[in-house]
Amino acid sequence: MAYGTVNADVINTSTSGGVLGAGNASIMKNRIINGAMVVSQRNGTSSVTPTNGNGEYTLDRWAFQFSQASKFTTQQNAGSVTPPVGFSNYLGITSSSSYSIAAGDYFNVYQPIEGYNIADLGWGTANAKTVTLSFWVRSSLTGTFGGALGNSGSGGARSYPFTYTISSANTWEQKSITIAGDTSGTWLSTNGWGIAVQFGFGVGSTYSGTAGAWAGSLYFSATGATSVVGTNGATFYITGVQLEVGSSATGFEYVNYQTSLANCQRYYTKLGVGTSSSGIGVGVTSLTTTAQVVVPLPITMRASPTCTVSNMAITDWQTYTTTVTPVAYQYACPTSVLLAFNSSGFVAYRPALFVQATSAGYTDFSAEL
Amino acid sequence: MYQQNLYHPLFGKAQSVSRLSDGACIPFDEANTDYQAFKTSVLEQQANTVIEHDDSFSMSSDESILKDADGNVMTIDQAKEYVRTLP
Repeated sequence: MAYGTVNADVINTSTSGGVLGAGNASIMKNRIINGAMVVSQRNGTSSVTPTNGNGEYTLDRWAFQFSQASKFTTQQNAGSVTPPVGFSNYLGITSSSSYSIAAGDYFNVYQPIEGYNIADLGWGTANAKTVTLSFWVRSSLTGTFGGALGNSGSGGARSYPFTYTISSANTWEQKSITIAGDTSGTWLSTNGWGIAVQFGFGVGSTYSGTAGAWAGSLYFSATGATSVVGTNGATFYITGVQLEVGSSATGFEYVNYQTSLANCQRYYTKLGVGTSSSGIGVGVTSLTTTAQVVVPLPITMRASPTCTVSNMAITDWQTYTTTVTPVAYQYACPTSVLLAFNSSGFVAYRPALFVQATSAGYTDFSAEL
Repeated sequence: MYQQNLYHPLFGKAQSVSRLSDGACIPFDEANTDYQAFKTSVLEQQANTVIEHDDSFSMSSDESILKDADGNVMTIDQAKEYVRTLP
């Protein structure tokens, strides 16, 4: 029996002009993780005021940089407005005051993309590929807003400031910006910082550059962009962020939840968000004062992770149960972590189950960029 | 503030450091950004850093932001020397 042969270079899709294959695939085209703002392991839907201005993650893969504390809050689905059609979630920012930004001030939300995921773009070479950034945005303010694409700054900063216009207040608008790939600079293709996509919501002149051109400087936004933090109560909402190869924006790439979560867990994993006594690791007590447990990680992380413990306990369910915090030491790799705890309540040479002490207990692992 | 971690004799020398502000345990992995920040913080410390206690007085100190495993604050030179032995 002869087998049939299928010859196909491309497969048409329902998206106008879209095809599968031939470098214009409609799957795995988006270099942004959690662009639909679905995954929020750290804070759920709670409002937070970030405190670490050097890069504090709120929604998964989205971090904030800022030069002044307590000028804004952020929340998944802040204000509970209806997201754009096809989306269920968005990242919301609300200004907490009317702050006049100085030249050196900056407030921006950004996603650093791991070098492995942009290696094919060829940035820093003569074959650098053009990309298009698209997103849905809504603000209580109108006018010119800004952002930038850039590298980590190590080995020489490279930035491409861009602008976009919000025409109607409190209305979702879709924007797209096409950017010719950078033929200069250092763009990592490893597990380090590749490209960062930045959205400014209050950036002073020091970190603002001319829109539409690559520059050898560290910019977070474009000159003349609107400051959201300058108006008390002003809002800035964003979702559907996509960075793809090509000169035009195509439809947002749908990613099922479990895939989005797994993609995020390469950078941050929070275990033990179940009921009290849920277990996340097993081990043994070696003394009455020391226990070691091994926690397998659900996804190979970008690097050996930093570990934080809250409301966790170690028990054998028979002779002892001891609440533990913090970690005494660890031996970590990207796939699992051995954690050691010191406490006076162990029984030596007994099994050690690593469980939640309360329903709020968790252990988190961070390997963020 | 950071503190050196103890280690288990079977596993060899310490492979992590603790960040005391939040109890985070940071592995010695050069790709870990918390580890990068720890090393940078220690190595960028300046001797005789002026510590402002309140409006009435200030003092100079060569105390570092790193404690040893027993909880003793290391000098800046000791801390830098330790960090230079790390990967």
